[in-house]
Amino acid sequence: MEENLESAAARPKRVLIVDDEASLRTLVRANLEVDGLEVSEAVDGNEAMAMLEKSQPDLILLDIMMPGKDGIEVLEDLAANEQLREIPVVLLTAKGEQEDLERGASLGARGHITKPFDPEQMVRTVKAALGLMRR
Amino acid sequence: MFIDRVTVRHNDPRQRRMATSAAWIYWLGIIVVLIGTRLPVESDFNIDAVLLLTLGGFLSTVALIIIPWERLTYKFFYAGAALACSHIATLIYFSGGVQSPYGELYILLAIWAAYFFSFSGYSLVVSMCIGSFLLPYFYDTQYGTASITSAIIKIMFMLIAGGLVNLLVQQVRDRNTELSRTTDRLALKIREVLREKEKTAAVLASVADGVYVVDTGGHIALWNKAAEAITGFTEAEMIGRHCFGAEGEISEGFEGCAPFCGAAAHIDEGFSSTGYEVLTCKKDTEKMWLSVSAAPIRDSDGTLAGVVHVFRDISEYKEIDRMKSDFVATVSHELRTPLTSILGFSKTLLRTDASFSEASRQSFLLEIVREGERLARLIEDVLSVSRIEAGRMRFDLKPLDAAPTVNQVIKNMARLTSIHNFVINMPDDLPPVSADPDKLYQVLLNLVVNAIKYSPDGGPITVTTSASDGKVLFEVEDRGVGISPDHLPHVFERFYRAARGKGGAAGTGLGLYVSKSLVEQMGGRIWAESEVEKGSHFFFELPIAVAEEAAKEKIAS
Repeated sequence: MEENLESAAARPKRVLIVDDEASLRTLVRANLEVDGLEVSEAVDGNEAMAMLEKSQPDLILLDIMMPGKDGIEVLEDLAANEQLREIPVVLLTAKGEQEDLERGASLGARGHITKPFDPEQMVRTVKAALGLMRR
Repeated sequence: MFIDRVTVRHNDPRQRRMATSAAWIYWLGIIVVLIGTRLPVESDFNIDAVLLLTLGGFLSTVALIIIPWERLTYKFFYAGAALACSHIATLIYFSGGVQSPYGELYILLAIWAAYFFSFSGYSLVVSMCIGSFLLPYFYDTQYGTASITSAIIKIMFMLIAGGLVNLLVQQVRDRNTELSRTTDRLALKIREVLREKEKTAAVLASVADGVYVVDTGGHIALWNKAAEAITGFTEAEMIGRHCFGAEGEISEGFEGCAPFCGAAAHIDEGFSSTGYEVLTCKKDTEKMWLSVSAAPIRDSDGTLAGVVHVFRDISEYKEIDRMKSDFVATVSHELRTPLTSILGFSKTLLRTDASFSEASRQSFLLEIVREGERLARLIEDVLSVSRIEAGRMRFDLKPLDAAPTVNQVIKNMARLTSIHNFVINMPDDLPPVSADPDKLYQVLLNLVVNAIKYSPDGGPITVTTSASDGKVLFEVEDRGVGISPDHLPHVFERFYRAARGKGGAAGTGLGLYVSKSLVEQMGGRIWAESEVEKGSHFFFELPIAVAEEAAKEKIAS
């Protein structure tokens, strides 16, 4: 386990961004990559789960309102999966989705970013959740 | 009229009793006369003749009694009376009371007089009976019988007796007339009530709202035509049906549908409601929303007799309502999404803690433009809808060469996608269309944006124009996800959105609705063909501008 952590620290942290909006994924990717993070993208919950089956990122940035499998359903799937349960999740939400946030928190989400967001703030939140930076 | 009155009077039990009694009195009278005049001791008494003639009277009496009263016309009545009278006359004659050639005549005279004074048949009979009954006590039958005087006295007797009886009868008849008038009034009233009931029934049948009445036992007592039409359950099925079991369960046959006779469970004093909404279903189990108002029905003494319910199918309103709130949610999401990108990329460019390559900065700016245009389109669509709905959309129709508009749309859209290639098939001699340039641009833009949006894996997007039959046909074709046959008929409906395809293509459900409205108001039509996973093919046609207008336009330009 310790070894794992060390090797994890050595390589760049990987973030999976799950959002149906291509432009938003690009925005997140651009800002995280410039800060040295590795970013992969999924357009919805189903694609995200398929990707998670293959490799596990260090953090998932998860949009709640998505077609197909939405963010809450992904959280439920993660919580039910022994292997994926521990991956920290930060929710991407629009204002006014308080109920979803509460539901997300109860399912183990580590935090949330409200759209529209300040990219610097978003990067700080992600890094904090990754343990790369103190909040 | 006369028949009516006879019928009414004959049907009057009082009248019937009266006549029956008269007949019995007559018969009793004969017996009394037979005994009272001590007939058997008379020398020239012929018992056979008396019995024979008495038989005639007897038969006429029996006829009066047994012939059904309503079938007994006045003819029969007077025939019976005449027979009875001739019997009395003969009886008196044989008993020695009248031994003169006037015997029969004065009886006829008596009948005529009775008729003249409008004695009725039975009072005549009674007067004869009483007259012949009284006669032996006041008159010497042996002498003076041959005189006219004695005949007149006999007539007087009979008439006085008959008159008295008639007075009595008249009083009864007056009362009966009164009664018959009351009956007539009552019949009229009943007819009125029936008419009123028919009217009410007609009103109930013609109202568009379903109306039903549940009695205090929870049974349906009334179920109108509209209720049938709305629910599919017929009056015959529903009348007497118990809405609920004792535990408030829905009765059989509703297949688990929520009850539209829901208020039956709440029947109690003062129960009423206005427009409560209930999800229920039709006979064919199709779900529907009803708005139900209920009010108690009370008897004249105030006891609860049932509850009347008026309901209407509000499924459509509910659906529009649902679509509207969906729309608000979608629009806010759709507005926020490009805004998030615009703000996000702008702030990214402004980040002081990170530096981006020139290529990245260019791509961010392109994203900002792309998302800004998306926002502009969305706002345009929303505004268009409100203008269309309010009927305030203005059209500046003029002869228009469609080519520049098509090219402009493609040029603007091509900048925003790298995975699609655009193919334009446009003849050089395309005639001018009659259209509003801005609106044509908006329609084409919407179709091309959809083509991009619903073909997330890229591919060709073909825009074709052609002219035929006075119309210019525009086609926009993609090789995208397509539209399923379930969704296809609805894509032009307001707020309608097909399920979002791969790549999360989302929309407000306004673009095609707006496009349809715009095309139709420019005198054209729009339609679509599609196959899932093969792509969609949208068509719209606009009229070719008439020659003079086109010529004018050419000269002007």
